[in-house]
Amino acid sequence: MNPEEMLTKLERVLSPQQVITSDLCSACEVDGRRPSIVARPQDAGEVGELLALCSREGWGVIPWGSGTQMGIGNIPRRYDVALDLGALDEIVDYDAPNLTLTAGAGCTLRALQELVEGKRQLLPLDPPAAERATLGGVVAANAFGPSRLRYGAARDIVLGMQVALANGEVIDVGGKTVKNVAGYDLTRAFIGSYGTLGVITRVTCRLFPMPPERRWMLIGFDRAGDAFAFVQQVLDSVLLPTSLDLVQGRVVPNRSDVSLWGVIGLEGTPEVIQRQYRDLSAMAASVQARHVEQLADEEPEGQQIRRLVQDMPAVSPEPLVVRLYVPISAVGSLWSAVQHLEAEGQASLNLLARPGLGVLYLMAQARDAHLSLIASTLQSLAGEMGGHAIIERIPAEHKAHLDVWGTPRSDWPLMQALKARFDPAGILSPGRFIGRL
Amino acid sequence: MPAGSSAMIDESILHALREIVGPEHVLTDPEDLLLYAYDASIHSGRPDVVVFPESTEQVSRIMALAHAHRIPVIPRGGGTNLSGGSVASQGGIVLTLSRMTKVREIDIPNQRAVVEAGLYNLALQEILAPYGYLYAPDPASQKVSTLGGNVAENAGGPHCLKYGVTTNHVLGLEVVLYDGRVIQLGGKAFDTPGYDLVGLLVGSEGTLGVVTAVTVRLLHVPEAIKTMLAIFDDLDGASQAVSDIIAAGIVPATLEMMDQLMMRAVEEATHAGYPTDAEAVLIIELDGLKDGMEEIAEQIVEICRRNRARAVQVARSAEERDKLWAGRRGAFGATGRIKPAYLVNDGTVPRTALPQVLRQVREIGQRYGLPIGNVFHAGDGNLHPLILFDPREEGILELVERAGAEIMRICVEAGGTITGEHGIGLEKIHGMPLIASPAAIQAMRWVKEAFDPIDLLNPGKVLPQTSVGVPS
Repeated sequence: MNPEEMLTKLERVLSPQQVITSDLCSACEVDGRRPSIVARPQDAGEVGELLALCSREGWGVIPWGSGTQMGIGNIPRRYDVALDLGALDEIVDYDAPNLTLTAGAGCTLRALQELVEGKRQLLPLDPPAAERATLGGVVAANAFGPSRLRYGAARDIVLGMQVALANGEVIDVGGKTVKNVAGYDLTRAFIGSYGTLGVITRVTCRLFPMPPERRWMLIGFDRAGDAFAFVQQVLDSVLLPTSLDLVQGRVVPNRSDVSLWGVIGLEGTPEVIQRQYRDLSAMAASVQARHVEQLADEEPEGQQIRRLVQDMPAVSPEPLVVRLYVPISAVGSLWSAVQHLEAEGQASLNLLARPGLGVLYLMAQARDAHLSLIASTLQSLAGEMGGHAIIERIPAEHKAHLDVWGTPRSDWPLMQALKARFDPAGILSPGRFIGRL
Repeated sequence: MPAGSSAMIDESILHALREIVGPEHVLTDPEDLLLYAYDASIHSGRPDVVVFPESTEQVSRIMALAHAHRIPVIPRGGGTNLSGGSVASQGGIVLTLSRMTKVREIDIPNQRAVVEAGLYNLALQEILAPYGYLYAPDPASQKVSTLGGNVAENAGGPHCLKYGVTTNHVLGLEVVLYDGRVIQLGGKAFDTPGYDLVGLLVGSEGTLGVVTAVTVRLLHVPEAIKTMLAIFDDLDGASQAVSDIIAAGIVPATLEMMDQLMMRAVEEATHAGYPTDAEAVLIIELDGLKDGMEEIAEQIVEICRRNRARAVQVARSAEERDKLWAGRRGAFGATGRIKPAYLVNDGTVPRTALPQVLRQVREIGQRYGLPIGNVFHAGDGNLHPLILFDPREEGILELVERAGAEIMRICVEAGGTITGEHGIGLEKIHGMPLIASPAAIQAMRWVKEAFDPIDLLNPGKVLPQTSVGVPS
């Protein structure tokens, strides 16, 4: 599409200074594809107008927050317009007494978290790269971090949203109460839909009281078997850690002398934290763990540990990043199974497990030619164990013969039917979702 | 009932249904059909036939038959629906899942259970208890409401304040589609790739598919529980205490409120020990680790006192706790001692709007001359005003419905919604335009079309057929 011609049409729905022609297009690359134009609407109405225009013209449009999750997805079938939502950064309604926050999709998570922390409240979304990630992006990707164990993911925290549809209509779905069953729960449908069903312009979240105290506990294990035996004890107990991550020993600065580290987030009153620390220490001792230590969250070292487990999938340099999901008790066997890849010399691995969620991140360095094979092997492996795998990062050329979401299942025709109705012209992130929807 | 619906079901269809489920599991006698014409709402609609399949395969065959002959199907669990969602308003087949009660799997290491849709909520809790686990959503009807029905309504219950609603605890569904196809959505692992169809099915009131089995998340039974009863001489003090407890950073497991009218009814029925001269009580429950719980309980007592609580009692034994809860759970039924029927609204408002909305509800009751009792989930702003009436009084139903519509409207005006957990069904269908724009309703209709393009499943529910006006 000729950018000049597009510009003329876009100027009818957006004021000219809101349309950026060429220079920023390289910053909005998706899988090596560049848009012809970057558009930056000023409000939800303009987003709607823009989508209606794209529907009429058949232009492929990909919504952008800050781009932290844009590696996830198949190669766009068509990509004409990058839709920059950065201008939608309004705090619409911070209702502290009711523990809800409504904000524009373009707000960064960090800014919102600082806002609510001022009133000793918590917006418990901690996906990778949270200081840049936008609220809309996190919700569209259902991105999550370690504290999902206690608070759930966007799916559990988001109460409502405003969405611009492909036909140009802007609708409100859900509301600001935890309980709301008025009509179909469209909110859940848009969460995790990766910009393929509509464009999220505003989100209402549930907030939580800031716990009186937050601490980190580090436990060093010599063998993966010990670590997973410990995890099983924790999950079988009445204890309620906020997060429970396992990483390889070498990734923790100044503490590389053990094989694995368990990184556990604890929060609550001092009594609750000390009780959990005591019980967890006893469980660690029962599997001959070597080191047990405690760090306050606000200390620099505590912050370093938080960032390490939270950001690893985003900052890790490997060309292949896979997020595997299995039933929670299978994470230990999955951890040993993937290590065969390393043992067989196929790849060098960096692993991050969230056993309470049934999640394992695998970051692999390997010969480029091997990457797709490793990726599809992992998808089958997770499938055999009752789960699935999403390829978060892989060089674009490998995506041509690989669906990064895995093979569509028996629910696939329903997804097609939904997509066909919400986006009949097929303009919203075309080709990027499962089955190249 | 629309004319002609019975004509759809002739002897050959009945024969085919008897072939599928066995003749003893097909009801066609007028008296039997009448029994299945009701749910727990004030609506009714007589089905042409009631069938009781015992397996997913039978459900699939029934749906295929209904599809071939274009016969409406109304899925039904325990029949406890409070919004008319399970009555056959257009006739057709009532498909009752009460025989599908198998526990397919209790998977403790993975903290999941897979159970069939007809299992009662309480039956699941009883199965899980010996393992030290529970399923968090616990609607007041749990003794007689089914898991499938809970999924269809996205049921809540007192413990939602801390643990969330059904959708937060359901990970997978087995669903029979309108044409008989059987599909699996989600599973034991989180985040199945693609659209969150489980999230769409939960709360869809039987209009998108027939849920035949459910995979749920299990939680540990908490180590410690503390249940308190705070007694207030004025309603405002009680509602303010609710807001203050939350503002203090405390998230109790439950925060339930009951007003004087309800307490009187409950006391007559169950002798739970509620003070019938008080204006309101709060049932406050803490759960979690025992460490530090005493201090939090003291903090709550202090907040209640500051809001002019007359007394705060702490349940000293499991028996005392059960007694307090038995009164709460039996509250709807107990109103029968005052009037034979009720219409219960379940509008939900931001917590801080409670004092004002409760005053408005009282005013509406006075204006219409209708007694209204309140027993509700105050912690999450989920009201349950029960408008009590005697249906034998002439013209009363219209009055009751008008009062109900006004209550819906004030909830929306207070920043809330028209239903928190009972669903739209038939009863609130005219209220939908209050909270959803025509474009939003259209988007919901796209969902319906994607799942059930010929409107076979529970037709006439949830979505207004055209953009109807709101009754004033």
